[in-house]
Amino acid sequence: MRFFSLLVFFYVSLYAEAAAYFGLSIEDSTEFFVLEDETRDASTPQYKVKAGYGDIGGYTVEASFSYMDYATNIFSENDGKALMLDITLYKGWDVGHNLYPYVDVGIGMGEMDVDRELESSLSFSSFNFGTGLRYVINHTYDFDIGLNYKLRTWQTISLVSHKINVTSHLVNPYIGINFHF
Amino acid sequence: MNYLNPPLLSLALTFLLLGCGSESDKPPLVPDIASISIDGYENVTLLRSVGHQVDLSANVLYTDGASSVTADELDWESNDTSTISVNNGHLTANANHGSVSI
Repeated sequence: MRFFSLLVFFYVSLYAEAAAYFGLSIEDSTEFFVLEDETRDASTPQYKVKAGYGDIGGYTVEASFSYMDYATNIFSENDGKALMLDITLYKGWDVGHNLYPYVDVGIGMGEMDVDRELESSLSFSSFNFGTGLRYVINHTYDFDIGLNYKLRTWQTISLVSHKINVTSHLVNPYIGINFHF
Repeated sequence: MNYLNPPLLSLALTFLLLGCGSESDKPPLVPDIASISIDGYENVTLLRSVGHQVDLSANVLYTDGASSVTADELDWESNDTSTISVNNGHLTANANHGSVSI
């Protein structure tokens, strides 16, 4: 019953002043890889296309599709492109002056090309949260700036005699623009 | 006027340049398999009659220089189990003559 009540509350909140939007953002992704006691960082630009629905002064749900090209050698000499899908829930507040600060939480999954003996790609999943600020330019556009953190868990890697688990921590400052309709 | 000490300056520049090494200059963080070799195959000639047994193992060399020996983590397969069967690197002769690929 409590779960059902929460769903109804969320549904009503989402549709309060709901509008659909899509947008683009550019992120400067810094990713810290952790393997046992060794770490390595990689800085990679990330490009995101997103579509969402909701009230930016309340709750918004967003699906986004991101692209990164890893010019790194974390998993192989030729780490390649990565594609990601994220689902994010935003909670925003209207603080006046066309400003809408928000916090967000979400989950994601993706796959990255690698050049390894036993794997040509590695999948991963992530838990995301962040914060940001939207500035509503007019009824159609808003400008978005924020900071996102992702805890990424990579596919277990087989080395025949044993397996390796890699995690990474992403910190993504980003800017973007959204088109409302 | 104070001047920088040339040896100290060159030492500092050396450290600075060393510190500028790119992350991409390093080998991959996650080691990969460089090669796998089979140990014990010379003993296969000891499989002279039904019931004789020989153990094989795999020596895995990694790109970071480490290595490990394993048998049961690999999938072993015989193309003629009526001649020689294999299980976790453990070969058993099932015939007195024949040729198989493991």
